[in-house]
Amino acid sequence: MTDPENKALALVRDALTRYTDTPPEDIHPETLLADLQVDSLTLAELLFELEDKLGKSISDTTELPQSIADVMALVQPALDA
Amino acid sequence: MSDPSPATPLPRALHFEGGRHAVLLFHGLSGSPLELQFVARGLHRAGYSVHVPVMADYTYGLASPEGCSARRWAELALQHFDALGPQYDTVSVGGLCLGAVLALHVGALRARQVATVLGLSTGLHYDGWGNPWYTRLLPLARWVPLAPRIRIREKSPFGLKDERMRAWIERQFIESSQSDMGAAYYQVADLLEARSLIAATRRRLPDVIAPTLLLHALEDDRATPRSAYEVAVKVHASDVHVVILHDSYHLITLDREKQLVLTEMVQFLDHRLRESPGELSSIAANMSTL
Repeated sequence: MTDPENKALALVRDALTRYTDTPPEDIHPETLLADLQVDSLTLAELLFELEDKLGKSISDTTELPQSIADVMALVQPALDA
Repeated sequence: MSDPSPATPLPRALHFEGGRHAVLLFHGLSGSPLELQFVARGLHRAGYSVHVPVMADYTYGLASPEGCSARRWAELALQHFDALGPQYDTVSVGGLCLGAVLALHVGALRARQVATVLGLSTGLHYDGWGNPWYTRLLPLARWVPLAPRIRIREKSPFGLKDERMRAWIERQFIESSQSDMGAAYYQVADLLEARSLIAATRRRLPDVIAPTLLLHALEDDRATPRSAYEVAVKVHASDVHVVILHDSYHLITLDREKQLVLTEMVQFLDHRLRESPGELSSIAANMSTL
Protein backbone atom coordinates (compact mmCIF):
# COMPACT_ATOMS: atom_id res chain seq x y z
CA MET A 1 0.00 0.00 0.00
CA THR A 2 1.11 3.56 -0.60
CA ASP A 3 1.74 5.97 2.24
CA PRO A 4 -1.57 7.84 1.71
CA GLU A 5 -3.39 4.51 1.69
CA ASN A 6 -1.73 3.52 4.95
CA LYS A 7 -2.74 6.86 6.47
CA ALA A 8 -6.33 6.40 5.32
CA LEU A 9 -6.46 2.86 6.68
CA ALA A 10 -5.07 3.97 10.04
CA LEU A 11 -7.68 6.72 10.27
CA VAL A 12 -10.54 4.38 9.40
CA ARG A 13 -9.30 1.70 11.80
CA ASP A 14 -9.03 4.22 14.63
CA ALA A 15 -12.57 5.50 14.07
CA LEU A 16 -13.97 1.99 13.76
CA THR A 17 -12.71 1.00 17.21
CA ARG A 18 -15.67 2.95 18.60
CA TYR A 19 -18.21 1.12 16.44
CA THR A 20 -17.08 -2.54 16.21
CA ASP A 21 -15.51 -5.21 18.39
CA THR A 22 -13.05 -6.24 15.69
CA PRO A 23 -9.41 -5.52 16.61
CA PRO A 24 -7.86 -2.86 14.33
CA GLU A 25 -5.21 -5.27 13.08
CA ASP A 26 -7.97 -7.52 11.72
CA ILE A 27 -9.45 -4.72 9.61
CA HIS A 28 -8.11 -4.68 6.05
CA PRO A 29 -9.06 -2.84 2.84
CA GLU A 30 -10.91 -5.89 1.53
CA THR A 31 -12.92 -6.30 4.76
CA LEU A 32 -16.64 -5.86 4.14
CA LEU A 33 -18.51 -3.48 6.44
CA ALA A 34 -21.28 -6.07 6.71
CA ASP A 35 -18.76 -8.54 8.15
CA LEU A 36 -17.96 -5.97 10.84
CA GLN A 37 -21.73 -5.73 11.52
CA VAL A 38 -21.70 -2.07 10.49
CA ASP A 39 -25.37 -1.21 9.83
CA SER A 40 -26.40 1.94 7.98
CA LEU A 41 -26.80 4.02 11.16
CA THR A 42 -23.33 3.02 12.31
CA LEU A 43 -21.96 3.79 8.86
CA ALA A 44 -23.45 7.27 9.09
CA GLU A 45 -21.89 7.80 12.53
CA LEU A 46 -18.55 6.54 11.22
CA LEU A 47 -18.55 8.83 8.17
CA PHE A 48 -19.56 11.85 10.24
CA GLU A 49 -16.79 11.13 12.74
CA LEU A 50 -14.26 10.89 9.91
CA GLU A 51 -15.59 14.18 8.52
CA ASP A 52 -15.06 15.84 11.88
CA LYS A 53 -11.48 14.55 12.02
CA LEU A 54 -10.70 15.59 8.44
CA GLY A 55 -12.58 18.89 8.56
CA LYS A 56 -14.02 18.06 5.14
CA SER A 57 -17.25 16.54 3.86
CA ILE A 58 -17.01 12.93 2.72
CA SER A 59 -20.52 11.61 3.40
CA ASP A 60 -22.18 13.33 0.43
CA THR A 61 -21.90 10.24 -1.71
CA THR A 62 -24.55 8.60 -3.86
CA GLU A 63 -23.26 5.05 -3.39
CA LEU A 64 -22.85 3.78 0.12
CA PRO A 65 -19.47 2.20 0.87
CA GLN A 66 -19.51 -1.58 1.12
CA SER A 67 -15.92 -2.25 2.18
CA ILE A 68 -13.09 -0.64 4.10
CA ALA A 69 -11.45 0.16 0.74
CA ASP A 70 -14.59 2.13 -0.23
CA VAL A 71 -14.35 4.17 2.97
CA MET A 72 -10.62 4.71 2.40
CA ALA A 73 -11.44 5.98 -1.10
CA LEU A 74 -13.70 8.61 0.44
CA VAL A 75 -11.07 9.59 3.00
CA GLN A 76 -8.01 9.76 0.76
CA PRO A 77 -8.86 12.87 -1.31
CA ALA A 78 -9.46 14.77 1.91
CA LEU A 79 -6.08 13.63 3.23
CA ASP A 80 -4.34 14.62 0.01
CA ALA A 81 -5.90 18.08 -0.08
CA MET B 1 -46.86 -0.46 16.98
CA SER B 2 -46.12 -0.13 13.26
CA ASP B 3 -44.30 -2.91 11.46
CA PRO B 4 -40.99 -2.64 9.63
CA SER B 5 -40.88 -3.28 5.92
CA PRO B 6 -40.33 -6.96 5.06
CA ALA B 7 -36.79 -6.26 3.80
CA THR B 8 -35.66 -4.75 7.10
CA PRO B 9 -33.97 -7.07 9.60
CA LEU B 10 -35.64 -7.08 12.98
CA PRO B 11 -33.86 -5.21 15.77
CA ARG B 12 -31.52 -7.36 17.83
CA ALA B 13 -30.40 -7.11 21.42
CA LEU B 14 -26.85 -5.89 22.06
CA HIS B 15 -24.70 -7.73 24.55
CA PHE B 16 -21.07 -6.96 25.29
CA GLU B 17 -19.44 -9.19 27.87
CA GLY B 18 -16.95 -7.29 30.00
CA GLY B 19 -16.21 -7.12 33.71
CA ARG B 20 -18.10 -8.04 36.88
CA HIS B 21 -20.13 -4.83 36.82
CA ALA B 22 -23.01 -4.93 34.36
CA VAL B 23 -25.06 -2.10 32.86
CA LEU B 24 -28.59 -2.79 31.61
CA LEU B 25 -29.81 -0.13 29.16
CA PHE B 26 -33.33 0.32 27.74
CA HIS B 27 -33.87 2.12 24.45
CA GLY B 28 -36.77 4.51 23.88
CA LEU B 29 -40.35 3.57 22.94
CA SER B 30 -40.66 2.23 19.37
CA GLY B 31 -36.90 2.56 19.00
CA SER B 32 -34.13 -0.01 18.79
CA PRO B 33 -30.94 -0.91 20.68
CA LEU B 34 -28.98 0.90 17.96
CA GLU B 35 -29.94 4.19 19.64
CA LEU B 36 -27.64 3.14 22.46
CA GLN B 37 -24.94 1.34 20.52
CA PHE B 38 -22.31 4.08 20.82
CA VAL B 39 -22.54 4.36 24.61
CA ALA B 40 -22.94 0.59 25.02
CA ARG B 41 -19.72 -0.08 23.14
CA GLY B 42 -17.98 2.73 25.00
CA LEU B 43 -19.00 1.33 28.40
CA HIS B 44 -17.78 -2.07 27.26
CA ARG B 45 -14.40 -0.60 26.31
CA ALA B 46 -14.30 0.91 29.80
CA GLY B 47 -14.60 -2.59 31.25
CA TYR B 48 -18.33 -3.00 31.85
CA SER B 49 -20.61 -5.77 30.67
CA VAL B 50 -23.49 -4.14 28.81
CA HIS B 51 -26.89 -5.51 27.81
CA VAL B 52 -29.44 -3.63 25.68
CA PRO B 53 -32.48 -5.89 25.29
CA VAL B 54 -35.28 -5.90 22.77
CA MET B 55 -38.80 -6.19 24.16
CA ALA B 56 -41.95 -7.29 22.37
CA ASP B 57 -44.47 -4.50 21.77
CA TYR B 58 -41.90 -1.93 22.93
CA THR B 59 -39.03 -2.32 20.46
CA TYR B 60 -39.87 -1.21 16.94
CA GLY B 61 -41.10 -4.08 14.79
CA LEU B 62 -41.43 -6.69 17.54
CA ALA B 63 -45.14 -7.31 18.04
CA SER B 64 -46.76 -10.01 20.12
CA PRO B 65 -50.38 -11.19 20.39
CA GLU B 66 -50.57 -9.60 23.83
CA GLY B 67 -50.20 -6.07 22.46
CA CYS B 68 -48.57 -3.10 24.11
CA SER B 69 -49.15 -2.39 27.78
CA ALA B 70 -47.26 -0.40 30.36
CA ARG B 71 -47.60 -3.26 32.82
CA ARG B 72 -46.00 -5.68 30.36
CA TRP B 73 -43.11 -3.31 29.57
CA ALA B 74 -42.40 -2.91 33.28
CA GLU B 75 -42.53 -6.68 33.83
CA LEU B 76 -40.12 -7.32 30.98
CA ALA B 77 -37.71 -4.67 32.26
CA LEU B 78 -37.71 -6.31 35.69
CA GLN B 79 -37.20 -9.75 34.15
CA HIS B 80 -34.13 -8.51 32.27
CA PHE B 81 -32.72 -7.03 35.47
CA ASP B 82 -33.43 -10.15 37.51
CA ALA B 83 -31.82 -12.34 34.84
CA LEU B 84 -28.58 -10.33 34.95
CA GLY B 85 -28.44 -10.11 38.73
CA PRO B 86 -27.00 -13.55 39.54
CA GLN B 87 -24.35 -13.26 36.84
CA TYR B 88 -22.57 -10.09 38.01
CA ASP B 89 -21.34 -8.40 41.17
CA THR B 90 -23.49 -5.36 40.46
CA VAL B 91 -26.05 -4.31 37.88
CA SER B 92 -26.68 -0.68 37.02
CA VAL B 93 -29.78 0.23 35.05
CA GLY B 94 -30.31 3.06 32.61
CA GLY B 95 -32.13 4.13 29.51
CA LEU B 96 -33.03 6.77 26.98
CA CYS B 97 -36.32 8.70 27.07
CA LEU B 98 -39.05 6.21 28.10
CA GLY B 99 -36.21 3.73 28.60
CA ALA B 100 -35.01 6.00 31.42
CA VAL B 101 -38.50 5.80 32.92
CA LEU B 102 -38.28 2.00 32.75
CA ALA B 103 -34.87 2.20 34.43
CA LEU B 104 -36.31 4.34 37.24
CA HIS B 105 -39.17 1.86 37.58
CA VAL B 106 -36.65 -0.96 38.05
CA GLY B 107 -34.66 1.29 40.37
CA ALA B 108 -37.74 1.73 42.55
CA LEU B 109 -38.87 -1.91 42.58
CA ARG B 110 -35.36 -3.33 43.07
CA ALA B 111 -34.12 -0.51 45.23
CA ARG B 112 -31.70 -2.64 47.29
CA GLN B 113 -30.26 -4.46 44.28
CA VAL B 114 -29.74 -1.70 41.70
CA ALA B 115 -26.20 -0.34 41.89
CA THR B 116 -26.77 2.94 40.04
CA VAL B 117 -29.43 4.53 37.81
CA LEU B 118 -28.54 6.30 34.55
CA GLY B 119 -31.31 8.53 33.12
CA LEU B 120 -30.67 9.84 29.61
CA SER B 121 -33.19 12.41 28.31
CA THR B 122 -35.66 11.12 30.87
CA GLY B 123 -39.19 11.47 29.51
CA LEU B 124 -41.54 12.26 32.40
CA HIS B 125 -43.05 15.27 30.61
CA TYR B 126 -43.35 15.53 26.83
CA ASP B 127 -43.15 19.30 26.90
CA GLY B 128 -40.34 19.91 24.40
CA TRP B 129 -40.51 22.57 21.72
CA GLY B 130 -40.53 20.04 18.85
CA ASN B 131 -43.68 18.13 19.79
CA PRO B 132 -46.74 18.69 17.57
CA TRP B 133 -49.32 20.94 19.25
CA TYR B 134 -51.92 18.17 19.23
CA THR B 135 -49.84 15.94 21.51
CA ARG B 136 -51.26 18.12 24.30
CA LEU B 137 -54.65 16.54 23.53
CA LEU B 138 -53.26 13.04 24.11
CA PRO B 139 -54.93 12.57 27.53
CA LEU B 140 -58.32 12.88 25.78
CA ALA B 141 -57.54 10.12 23.30
CA ARG B 142 -58.34 7.36 25.78
CA TRP B 143 -62.00 8.35 25.65
CA VAL B 144 -62.28 8.96 21.92
CA PRO B 145 -63.32 5.87 19.91
CA LEU B 146 -60.59 4.67 17.51
CA ALA B 147 -58.20 7.42 18.64
CA PRO B 148 -55.67 4.87 19.97
CA ARG B 149 -55.27 3.66 16.39
CA ILE B 150 -54.15 7.07 15.16
CA ARG B 151 -50.49 7.36 14.20
CA ILE B 152 -48.41 10.47 14.89
CA ARG B 153 -45.66 11.03 12.37
CA GLU B 154 -42.13 11.77 13.52
CA LYS B 155 -41.09 15.20 12.31
CA SER B 156 -37.89 17.13 11.96
CA PRO B 157 -35.61 17.62 13.87
CA PHE B 158 -36.18 13.97 14.95
CA GLY B 159 -34.48 14.63 18.28
CA LEU B 160 -31.21 15.52 16.58
CA LYS B 161 -29.29 18.79 16.55
CA ASP B 162 -26.63 17.28 14.28
CA GLU B 163 -27.91 18.31 10.87
CA ARG B 164 -26.01 15.57 9.03
CA MET B 165 -27.50 12.81 11.16
CA ARG B 166 -30.91 14.44 10.91
CA ALA B 167 -30.69 14.46 7.10
CA TRP B 168 -29.61 10.82 7.12
CA ILE B 169 -32.58 9.78 9.27
CA GLU B 170 -34.98 11.91 7.23
CA ARG B 171 -33.80 10.22 4.04
CA GLN B 172 -34.44 6.80 5.58
CA PHE B 173 -37.92 7.87 6.71
CA ILE B 174 -38.78 9.13 3.21
CA GLU B 175 -37.48 5.99 1.52
CA SER B 176 -39.01 3.40 3.84
CA SER B 177 -41.10 5.03 6.60
CA GLN B 178 -38.53 3.82 9.11
CA SER B 179 -34.92 4.22 10.10
CA ASP B 180 -32.38 2.07 11.88
CA MET B 181 -33.48 3.85 15.04
CA GLY B 182 -37.13 2.94 14.67
CA ALA B 183 -40.48 3.90 13.22
CA ALA B 184 -41.43 7.09 11.44
CA TYR B 185 -44.70 6.97 13.37
CA TYR B 186 -45.86 6.65 16.94
CA GLN B 187 -49.14 4.89 17.67
CA VAL B 188 -51.40 6.85 20.00
CA ALA B 189 -52.11 3.55 21.80
CA ASP B 190 -48.38 3.25 22.63
CA LEU B 191 -48.23 6.84 23.84
CA LEU B 192 -51.23 6.26 26.13
CA GLU B 193 -49.45 3.26 27.65
CA ALA B 194 -46.34 5.38 28.02
CA ARG B 195 -48.39 7.88 30.03
CA SER B 196 -49.52 5.06 32.32
CA LEU B 197 -45.94 3.91 32.86
CA ILE B 198 -44.82 7.47 33.56
CA ALA B 199 -47.63 7.99 36.10
CA ALA B 200 -46.83 4.74 37.89
CA THR B 201 -43.09 5.49 37.92
CA ARG B 202 -43.56 9.04 39.15
CA ARG B 203 -45.42 7.71 42.21
CA ARG B 204 -42.52 5.38 42.94
CA LEU B 205 -39.64 7.84 42.49
CA PRO B 206 -39.13 8.24 46.27
CA ASP B 207 -38.32 4.51 46.39
CA VAL B 208 -35.21 5.01 44.23
CA ILE B 209 -32.18 5.11 46.52
CA ALA B 210 -29.32 4.15 44.18
CA PRO B 211 -26.84 6.82 43.06
CA THR B 212 -28.49 8.48 40.08
CA LEU B 213 -26.99 10.21 37.04
CA LEU B 214 -29.29 12.36 34.92
CA LEU B 215 -28.12 13.67 31.55
CA HIS B 216 -30.43 16.02 29.70
CA ALA B 217 -30.10 18.55 26.88
CA LEU B 218 -31.17 22.11 27.59
CA GLU B 219 -32.70 22.31 24.12
CA ASP B 220 -34.33 18.85 24.19
CA ASP B 221 -37.07 19.03 21.55
CA ARG B 222 -39.23 16.28 23.14
CA ALA B 223 -38.90 16.70 26.90
CA THR B 224 -37.45 19.73 28.65
CA PRO B 225 -34.97 19.31 31.53
CA ARG B 226 -37.99 19.68 33.84
CA SER B 227 -38.20 15.87 33.72
CA ALA B 228 -34.63 15.45 34.97
CA TYR B 229 -35.11 18.07 37.68
CA GLU B 230 -38.28 16.35 38.90
CA VAL B 231 -36.45 13.03 39.17
CA ALA B 232 -33.54 14.71 40.96
CA VAL B 233 -35.89 16.22 43.54
CA LYS B 234 -38.12 13.20 44.10
CA VAL B 235 -35.72 10.27 44.31
CA HIS B 236 -34.33 9.50 47.75
CA ALA B 237 -30.80 8.80 46.57
CA SER B 238 -28.16 10.61 48.58
CA ASP B 239 -26.07 10.90 45.44
CA VAL B 240 -27.78 12.55 42.46
CA HIS B 241 -25.74 14.08 39.67
CA VAL B 242 -27.44 16.18 36.96
CA VAL B 243 -25.57 17.12 33.80
CA ILE B 244 -27.16 19.61 31.40
CA LEU B 245 -25.92 19.41 27.81
CA HIS B 246 -25.75 22.53 25.66
CA ASP B 247 -25.27 21.24 22.11
CA SER B 248 -27.78 18.40 21.67
CA TYR B 249 -31.49 17.76 21.34
CA HIS B 250 -33.33 14.68 22.62
CA LEU B 251 -31.30 11.77 21.21
CA ILE B 252 -28.17 12.56 23.20
CA THR B 253 -26.61 9.16 22.53
CA LEU B 254 -26.49 9.93 18.79
CA ASP B 255 -26.17 13.69 18.77
CA ARG B 256 -23.24 16.10 18.87
CA GLU B 257 -22.31 15.43 22.49
CA LYS B 258 -22.51 11.63 22.50
CA GLN B 259 -18.84 11.40 23.48
CA LEU B 260 -19.49 13.70 26.46
CA VAL B 261 -22.50 11.56 27.39
CA LEU B 262 -20.32 8.46 27.35
CA THR B 263 -17.55 10.15 29.34
CA GLU B 264 -20.01 11.29 32.03
CA MET B 265 -21.49 7.78 32.28
CA VAL B 266 -18.08 6.13 32.59
CA GLN B 267 -16.86 8.64 35.19
CA PHE B 268 -20.05 8.26 37.21
CA LEU B 269 -19.90 4.46 37.17
CA ASP B 270 -16.16 4.28 37.80
CA HIS B 271 -16.44 6.57 40.81
CA ARG B 272 -19.39 4.74 42.39
CA LEU B 273 -18.45 1.17 41.53
CA ARG B 274 -14.67 1.01 41.35
CA GLU B 275 -13.27 3.87 43.39
CA SER B 276 -15.74 3.58 46.30
CA PRO B 277 -16.36 -0.13 46.51
CA GLY B 278 -17.17 -0.13 50.23
CA GLU B 279 -20.90 0.41 49.77
CA LEU B 280 -21.12 -2.29 47.16
CA SER B 281 -20.82 -5.27 49.44
CA SER B 282 -24.42 -4.88 50.63
CA ILE B 283 -25.63 -4.52 47.03
CA ALA B 284 -23.75 -7.66 46.02
CA ALA B 285 -25.30 -9.48 48.97
CA ASN B 286 -28.76 -8.27 47.95
CA MET B 287 -28.21 -9.47 44.39
CA SER B 288 -28.03 -13.01 45.70
CA THR B 289 -31.65 -12.64 46.88
CA LEU B 290 -32.92 -12.27 43.31
